[in-house]
Amino acid sequence: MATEKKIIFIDFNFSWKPNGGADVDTYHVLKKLHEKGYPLLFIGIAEDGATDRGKFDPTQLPFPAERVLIPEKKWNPYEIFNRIKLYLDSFKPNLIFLQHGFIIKIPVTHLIKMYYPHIPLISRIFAHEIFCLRNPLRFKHQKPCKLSIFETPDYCRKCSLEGLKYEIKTSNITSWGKDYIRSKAYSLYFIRNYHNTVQKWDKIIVYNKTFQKELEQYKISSVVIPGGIEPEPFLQIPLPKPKKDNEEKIILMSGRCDEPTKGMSILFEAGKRLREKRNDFKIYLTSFNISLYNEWFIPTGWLSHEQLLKMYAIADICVVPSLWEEPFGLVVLESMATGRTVCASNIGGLSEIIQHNSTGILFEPSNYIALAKELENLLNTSQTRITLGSNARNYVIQNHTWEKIVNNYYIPLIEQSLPTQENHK
Amino acid sequence: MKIGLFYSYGPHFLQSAKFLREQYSEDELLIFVPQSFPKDCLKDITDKIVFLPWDGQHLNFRSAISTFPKILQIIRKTKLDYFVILFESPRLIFLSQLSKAKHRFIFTIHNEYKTLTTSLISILLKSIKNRIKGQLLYIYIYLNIHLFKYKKI
Repeated sequence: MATEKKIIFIDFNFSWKPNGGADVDTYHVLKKLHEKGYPLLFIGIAEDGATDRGKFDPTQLPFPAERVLIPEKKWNPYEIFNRIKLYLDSFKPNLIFLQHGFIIKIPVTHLIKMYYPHIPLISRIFAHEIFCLRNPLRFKHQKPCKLSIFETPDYCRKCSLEGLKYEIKTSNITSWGKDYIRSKAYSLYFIRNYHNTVQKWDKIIVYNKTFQKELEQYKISSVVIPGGIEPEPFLQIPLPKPKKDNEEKIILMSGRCDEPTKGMSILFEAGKRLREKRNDFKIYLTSFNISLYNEWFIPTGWLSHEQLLKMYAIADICVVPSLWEEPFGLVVLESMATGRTVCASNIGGLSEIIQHNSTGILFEPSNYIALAKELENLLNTSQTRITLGSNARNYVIQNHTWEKIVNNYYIPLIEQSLPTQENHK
Repeated sequence: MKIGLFYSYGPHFLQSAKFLREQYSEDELLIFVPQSFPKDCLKDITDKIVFLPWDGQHLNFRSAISTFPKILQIIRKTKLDYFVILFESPRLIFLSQLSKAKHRFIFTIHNEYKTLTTSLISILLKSIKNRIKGQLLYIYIYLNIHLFKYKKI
């Protein structure tokens, strides 16, 4: 039975329609918790005029929600906190979740803990924002960066300025850059307090064990909660049928393929290599870079959810050639749920979802020769594709539906974190 | 009526082309694209693809000076009624103002199709103001990072 105690969820970047996996995660977790009777309130902080965050209509969400609009000029930790404070005072939550947010989460945490030290605070980390000042991807010069703000703060300060140089100089600033500037994340004061503030989070939720281990090095404890999917639309897609050797096979790369971190060029190179040997396949990808278009490499542009489901239905293999340490990989999960064989980089959270040769194929990141080899094997053997795809679908249904994620991870975490009557006193 | 769409690298290029085709189904639609652009992508959408002496990449100031007049000449020769751009950047606004088109439009990244009202002067002034502001902020942050170093206790 759901607890009587109240929970507030605060998100600094939420948009619906979603801009990424973090929005999808927040939406489904809150929807499920609300359905299960948890008294909750969602506060989405929205920066006026921003195009890439805070765009949602609270009345259209399936849980109680408020949109807090903050003028662009007043987008700073104090103003944000003052607005949040109104809700904290009126709703009187027993537990606070800080959902998706960039660097501004740090000073806001500091203020919340200063005014409400007795309310437990749980922070959800969706990407590498806890380790990096340059960008939430922790990706530099086409490869993942291993350094972190905890270990090399001065280097990270310089690196962040180098990364944000163009946008600062032209005042054409992204959401990340804005949070960096308005939080004064470059300053010595910010860095000095960083570790302490992070430790003020009573719990940190991360997506995978690699993150958890890294945080342990800095004496920060965290819990791993994977992401999930709403399986129904994907289960409507029939499992792929065996194809004859000379029949055309479809390879699909979905997601935000145009981001350099996603490794589209690796798939292109692998495809080029394969094309020298055979022409029984085509590669479709949800990219808008149509200058790459040729008879076998077909960027479709961005697709709606319905169009994407149709695309999955004709696909035989899905490829996720990410170059960055994907924290989780929603695209992998969705592709697996459709019963397609997924061939993904052995990196970050992807390697925790896929079991090589059992629920999919893993290949060495950025190695297009290895990818070409794996794709060739899969194109040659219909039965392997069907078996791996079917195993993948079963794995996802058994482990990664939102219902299971909320029941197995969130509810125990909430019950554990809510203060007992005695603690509260 | 002649409608011209100028290619920019963005997720809304294809949407804009399809939208213009539907909106002006009886009119002539010209799409200006870089020289290596795969024309098959635009079959059934456009009446004419006009290839420009440009590789589609962002041009630095020096190459922009030499390439811009050539692009402009090609656009002006087509004698457009409507000229549509995809981003509100100073360069594109400048191009649209000199295009000789009777009306100028923008198809935004949020798929909004509207008249382009921004004048070149206002966008240039805004751009200069932003550059000065940005440079000062950059210097401030640079000094902050380089003068006050973190020492682990």
